[in-house]
Amino acid sequence: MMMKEHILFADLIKGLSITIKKFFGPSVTLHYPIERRETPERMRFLHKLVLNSAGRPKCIACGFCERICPPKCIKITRGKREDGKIGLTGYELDIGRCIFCGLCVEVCPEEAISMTDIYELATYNRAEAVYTMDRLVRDVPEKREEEG
Amino acid sequence: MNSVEETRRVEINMGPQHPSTHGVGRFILTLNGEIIEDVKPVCGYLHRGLEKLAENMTYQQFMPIVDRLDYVASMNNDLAYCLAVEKLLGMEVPERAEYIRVIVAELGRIASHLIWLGTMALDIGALTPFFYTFRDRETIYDMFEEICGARLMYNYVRIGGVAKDITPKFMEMLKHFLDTFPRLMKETDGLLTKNRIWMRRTKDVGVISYDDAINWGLSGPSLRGSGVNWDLRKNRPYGIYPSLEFDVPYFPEGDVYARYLVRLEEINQSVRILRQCVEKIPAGEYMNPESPFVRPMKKPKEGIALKDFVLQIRGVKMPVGEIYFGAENPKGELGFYIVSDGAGKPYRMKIRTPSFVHVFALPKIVKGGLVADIVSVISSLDFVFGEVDR
Ligand code: SF4
Ligand code: SF4
Repeated sequence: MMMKEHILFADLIKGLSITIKKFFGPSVTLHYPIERRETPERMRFLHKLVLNSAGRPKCIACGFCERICPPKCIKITRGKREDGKIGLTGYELDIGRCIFCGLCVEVCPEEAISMTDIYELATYNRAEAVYTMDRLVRDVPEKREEEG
Repeated sequence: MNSVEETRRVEINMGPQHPSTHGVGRFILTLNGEIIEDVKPVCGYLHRGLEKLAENMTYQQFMPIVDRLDYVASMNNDLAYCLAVEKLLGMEVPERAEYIRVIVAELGRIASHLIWLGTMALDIGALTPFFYTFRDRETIYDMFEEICGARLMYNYVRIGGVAKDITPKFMEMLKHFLDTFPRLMKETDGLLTKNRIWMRRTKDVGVISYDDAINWGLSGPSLRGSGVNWDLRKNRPYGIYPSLEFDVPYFPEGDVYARYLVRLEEINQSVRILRQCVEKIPAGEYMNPESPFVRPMKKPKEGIALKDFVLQIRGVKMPVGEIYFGAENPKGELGFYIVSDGAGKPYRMKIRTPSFVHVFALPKIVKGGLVADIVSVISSLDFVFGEVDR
């Protein structure tokens, strides 16, 4: 019995030695949200509607993204715009349903929609999670701003 | 009135919110004192109807859904699905893409085994390895994030190749990982493999014999833990696996400890495969340009043709036929059985998941054992409920 206890003790020392080594080693975790990770170029998060030179969304309302989206969270409305032409009048994206697969970006023939690295998308209610065309253009910056 | 004999039997609900059932699994245990007399696995708590969903989606659309089967090894699921659809199409994949696929699949295998190792140690009572394995897993996820932009649901391997080429930064990270990881793994190995408590909790526990393992349809590491030398990468080779050197570890004991050793050795073998891939990876295309799933209308200047609309509405036309393809996933054999009637959507898709089979082999393994051991047996079979219920 003594013998066995002795061996268990040796196992303990082995484990503790690793713990102590790690204790003085560099830390692995980040103090989120004070510190944030650097995000890679290809991050697939909140969408952004790209504007053309005239300051209007590039989107031509072809509806490819609406069709390919697996959870069907994009809703496009077409109609008469203020300038009298038929085109995109509404673009609704329900972030609460989106699975961030990126298929909508890939399928778009006009590169009118892109994805940013804004990942803090939690809201207090579902209505806030629906991004309208206005919000997708106005509220979404090209890149997440670093908070000082 | 009940006799003494009967009153001693207790039925216990293990799950669906039990921390060590790895998801939302439920097991109804019938106990006689400390002895398990019967186990009834109850599944369906995570049922999302993926097979039915597939019938209403184009092959491309189903891609991100496949990620959600075994959510700790999404890359491998993607690969298995793509290989199945490519088999139906009879499509070739460029060599560079094959190498990239093997790299991400083996990284996925390591990540999955690391999660398994951490959680199994946690279940048995060793808290420390959990943190170390999750640290290394994070490194792998950072690499995946670099190439495809997502940490868990990649949607990266595509029909005909991969979605994007790997970046030089990814290669750097991979080389760094291959240099440091084996040393870190040795630490975890040192903490557990020869540990007395660990050995007592796992040796001769949850034994399943060679014949039973085959008859119950086990696959992957759980099968090899019973001494069966069967690995789909070797026995029904796909991709570039035949040109790579690696061993298939198997141990004849059939207990939890044997399954543990198999997975540990598989991690080392995956590192070996990765080293060869880093050396051999050729330049070239990362996607078959003839694949009908390549973004066909990515030419803004030319406008959208009618055929693009048709393609979007109907999906890519597939050949008529039935195929089955099984790939070696970290958990076992993940198979897709696709029946195509020539439309852009599968007529029927059956998904053969290893976890489902393993869950229902559990009664066979734990009957007659001690109730304290069921947790380690559950961990050693390594099932994920996203896959059990699909
Ligand atoms: S990322 Fe995927 S789920 Fe989200 S809107 Fe685009 S297609 Fe739909
Ligand atoms: S695919 Fe592009 S152009 Fe077509 S509706 Fe969607 S965002 Fe607009």
